[in-house]
Amino acid sequence: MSDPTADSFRQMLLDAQLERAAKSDDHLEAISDKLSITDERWSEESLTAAVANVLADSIREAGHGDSDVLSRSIAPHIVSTIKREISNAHPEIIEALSPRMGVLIRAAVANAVEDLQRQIDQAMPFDIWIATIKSRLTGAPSAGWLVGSAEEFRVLEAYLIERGSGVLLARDKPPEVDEDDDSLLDDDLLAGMIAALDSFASDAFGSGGLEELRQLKMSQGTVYLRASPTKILALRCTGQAPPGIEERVDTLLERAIQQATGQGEDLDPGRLLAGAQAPMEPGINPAALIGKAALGIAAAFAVLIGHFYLESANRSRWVEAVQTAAADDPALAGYPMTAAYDGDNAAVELRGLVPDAAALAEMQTRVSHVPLPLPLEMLVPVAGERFK
Amino acid sequence: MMKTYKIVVLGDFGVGKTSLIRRYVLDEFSDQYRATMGVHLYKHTDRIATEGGQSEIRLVVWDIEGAPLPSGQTQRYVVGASAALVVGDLTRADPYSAMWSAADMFEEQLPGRPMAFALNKRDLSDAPSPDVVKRMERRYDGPVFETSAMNGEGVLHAFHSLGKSILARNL
Repeated sequence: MSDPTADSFRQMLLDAQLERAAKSDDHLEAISDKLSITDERWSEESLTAAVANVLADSIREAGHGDSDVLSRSIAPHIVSTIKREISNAHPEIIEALSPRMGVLIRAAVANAVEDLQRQIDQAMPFDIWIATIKSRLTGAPSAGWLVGSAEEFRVLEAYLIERGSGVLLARDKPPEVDEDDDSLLDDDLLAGMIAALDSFASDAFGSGGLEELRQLKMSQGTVYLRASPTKILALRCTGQAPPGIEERVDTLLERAIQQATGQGEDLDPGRLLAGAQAPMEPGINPAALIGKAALGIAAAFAVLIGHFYLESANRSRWVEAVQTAAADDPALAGYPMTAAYDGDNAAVELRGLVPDAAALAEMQTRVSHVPLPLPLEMLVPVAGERFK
Repeated sequence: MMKTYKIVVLGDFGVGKTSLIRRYVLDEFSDQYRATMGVHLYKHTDRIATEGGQSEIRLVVWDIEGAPLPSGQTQRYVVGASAALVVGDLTRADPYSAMWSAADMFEEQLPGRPMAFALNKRDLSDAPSPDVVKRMERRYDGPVFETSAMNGEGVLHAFHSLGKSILARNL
């Protein structure tokens, strides 16, 4: 039977140590799990032999009893050996991590959509809903915009935009569209956003830009986009698209470019839509509607994929910036230091080992200068303390 | 119709580009940092004092992500800009290297287009401006302003100098 006083003393004296030990156990268990991935491929004997050979060389190279020099000399070889073994076990690691990657991808997609929405909301004074993306993500029906498409087809506005700069060269609207209509967008911002989207699409898809992305679905209708090397024609429409609209838009762009080429800045903005309305009278064509829906989905997903690509690239850059700042100290040569993106906590995680408290403090200062939009989790113990 | 001009704001990440723009366009400041991803656009109509009196100018300000973007994307966002504001952070050990890089990139893309430089976060730093500032002014023929997005110091001057250059050169 235990003595309550002794128990209480034990708890007071050893509480912190017990807690640390419990955490260490968790870490060891996690490391053990990861290492077990390689168990089937590499036996303990072969790994021990590989490491022993490297150690023997290192000790010979160090040549004296200075433990600090010895540890610095050995550490890089151990790290490179571990890295090599992990690299050799790549397929197993991917397989073991796949459930985690699934979570990461889901979170990334959700973040990408949220971020896209926020960016658009901040940049423009209107709500843009790429209904199909949300529909695919949430499982909710996209009936909202399909119903909208059943309305009579109307061209609301046409914009001729200088490609690259996003400067609006000309704008035209049918006389029946009220200038004070709430649905009218800010012309200059819309023009700029379309030009930015063009650049964005060029980078995300490696070529093409708006040539690939021929229309955008918005809450207030569809924007049809056509681009020449120097100009972009954007046609904002509502309602069900009639058959042959794609060809009509192509023709309009050709005509607008001819006008702009001939008249430069004197281009009459009121002539952009000249003759456009009559050939675009609505015609009910369910097959065409489905075709437009598919195009809309494709375009929306293309934007999402492009955005996801950039999001991933951004995270890689943040991780690299943290890694570079953390390791930027000759005293840390040979000490392991790895930054990675922690999808579960939406944070950048820095793991490693430092020789002493001073190196840790300097590293914390360097890392704190990296402007991160995400939290930073540091799991970097001091070597001496860890092994005491 | 009134002509619209594109201005790009360049600089390393976290130097306060978005804060400067929001101070200029919306006259507001937030100390909550949120990185710009890709590009954000702001529109602002302003009155600029010129030799001939007051002129109205409409600007679309492109707030471009500070972190290096892949495959020359920053260069593509710069295309067609009438001017650039290059921003640095006075509280950093070396605010200038990243500014030189951004200015070089802009100069390479659009030679001769006006630039202005904003040494931001003046409210957080008392350090005197070193000689590099004068070299920067000479090299790019663009004025350098000490700015604070937090209290508004120098912000209007920086943007107005760009507006003036644009109107003077009829870009």
